Amino acid sequence: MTNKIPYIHPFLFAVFPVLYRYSFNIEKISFSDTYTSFIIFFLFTAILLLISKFIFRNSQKGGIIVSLFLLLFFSYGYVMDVIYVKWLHCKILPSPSHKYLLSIWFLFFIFGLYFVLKSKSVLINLNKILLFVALILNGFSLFSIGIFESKRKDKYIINEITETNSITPDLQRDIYYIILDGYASSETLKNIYNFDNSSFLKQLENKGFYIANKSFSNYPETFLSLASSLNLNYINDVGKITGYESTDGIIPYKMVRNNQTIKFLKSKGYKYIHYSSRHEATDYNPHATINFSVNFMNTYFIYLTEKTILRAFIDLFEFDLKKSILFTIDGLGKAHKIKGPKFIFAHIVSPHFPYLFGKNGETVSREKTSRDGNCWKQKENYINQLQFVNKKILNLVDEIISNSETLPVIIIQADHGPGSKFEKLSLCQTDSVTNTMLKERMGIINAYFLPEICDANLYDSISPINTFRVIFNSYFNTHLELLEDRCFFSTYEAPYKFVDVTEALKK
Amino acid sequence: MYSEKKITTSGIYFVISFILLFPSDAYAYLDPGTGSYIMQLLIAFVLGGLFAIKLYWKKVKDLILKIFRLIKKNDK
Repeated sequence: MTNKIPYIHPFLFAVFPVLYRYSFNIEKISFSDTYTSFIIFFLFTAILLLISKFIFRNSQKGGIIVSLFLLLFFSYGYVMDVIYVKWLHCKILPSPSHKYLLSIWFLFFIFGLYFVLKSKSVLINLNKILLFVALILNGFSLFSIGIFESKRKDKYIINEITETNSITPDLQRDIYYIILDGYASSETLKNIYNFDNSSFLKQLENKGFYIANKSFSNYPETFLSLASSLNLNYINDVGKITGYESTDGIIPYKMVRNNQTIKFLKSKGYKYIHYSSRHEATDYNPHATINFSVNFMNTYFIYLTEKTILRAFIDLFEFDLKKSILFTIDGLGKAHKIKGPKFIFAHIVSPHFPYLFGKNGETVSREKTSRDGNCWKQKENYINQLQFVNKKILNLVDEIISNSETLPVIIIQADHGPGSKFEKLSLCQTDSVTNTMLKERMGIINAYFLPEICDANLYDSISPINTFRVIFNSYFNTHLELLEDRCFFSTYEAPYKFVDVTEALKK
Repeated sequence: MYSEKKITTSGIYFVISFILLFPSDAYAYLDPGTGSYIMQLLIAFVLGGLFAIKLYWKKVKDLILKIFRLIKKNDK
């Protein structure tokens, strides 16, 4: 057993960050999201052990060196965050730089290497100590996962669409559902951001779009809003299952992935094409016919690597997200090539921060953006990114309409609006939430391209809850009753404690 | 004048606030849990240190006894 210890603790140190991050975010992700990271870090450690065996020709010493390397590799981003970002705010350090921490990390490693290589003993006990530490670390996470899972309540029955009179039309149009995360209503843009978006909306109208000018989202957060719109129903009773104080998002996340819209359209012979958002529940969909993603790495893996030493050399998160947004918009324009009727879903994390694009798509310098606090307050960056999105969307719409054999259905909608008037990003407020704040957060863009049906099916204040009710009634002859458009506000800290703000938004 | 106890207490407060007041990563929908990560590492290594003392207890004990003997010898 003693001979195997040097091969065990490096693997435990490699899986710790994966397990830890999962245990910390268990309310938002499923365990399957961690598989890629486990495999990659496992292989990474195996390669390091092979190299160390080849170089040092001593498994006991090799194991210690690999564990030291992994500890430094994985903890770099965390230490950087604590020391530099916080100290920078306190003005203790002159300027943040990777070179200081990299130098310290390098010295740590060289010192450890020197100690291990110079030691005349076999270092069996040091291996035992490292194994003990690794077991403790993983034990913390496993304990916390176990406690959470034992208490978790995630059984929720979704109201199925029971529509027996629906038809499968001869002419099956592709349906594009494009979510522009955090895209504000024109009223918000005008009143709060001092930006006139009428030119963009007018151009959409000229292309045949109907703009619902008084549309508000039904919920203020992405996972709630999409769970509701894709399932054609309100989700206020989720709190009954999870508990109203809970922040566990697993039920809405499941509802986003396995939703009624997909089920209904699949029953009509549609393929479901999913574009990865690199974000939340829309990163990947196991129920999709095809999942398109900018690369094989899932978001969870990107988030993990962002805390490693690699971050000193490249901002993987921003790099990946930027590439992904462009990949999605580009891909949507080519999706018509996929044979057969399709439901194409793309959740684009823009104009939502991070602010990656200037108004012409140029890179935004780091000095102009901040990662801290309520990023909605960076109004200029928001408007610039929104203008870039506008340009891309207009080109995309042209591409889709001109290349599709049959005119498709296109929905361009936001999941919620921005939140610059809130003190905190979490929508928590020390004083009361005002109508202006609510209007900003709930006011959204909501545009429909519905070929060959009368706009009479649509109305100015249609909210996402009725989007697919209108589309299914219009194109599949369903008789789904339109629900009253109501808006429910809640905060990140208590997402299921809903307050009906419909009347407040009318004022 | 600060007493030793006061300095120790403020030191502890500093360490705790240093760890807990980690930056909020506004971009991330996955909370990095920075403070807790560092705290867990620290606890695991402190426990690892205790485990090391247990492993080397005989050597540690001998060393302490040796030091005491040396002190006694010098006193005489």
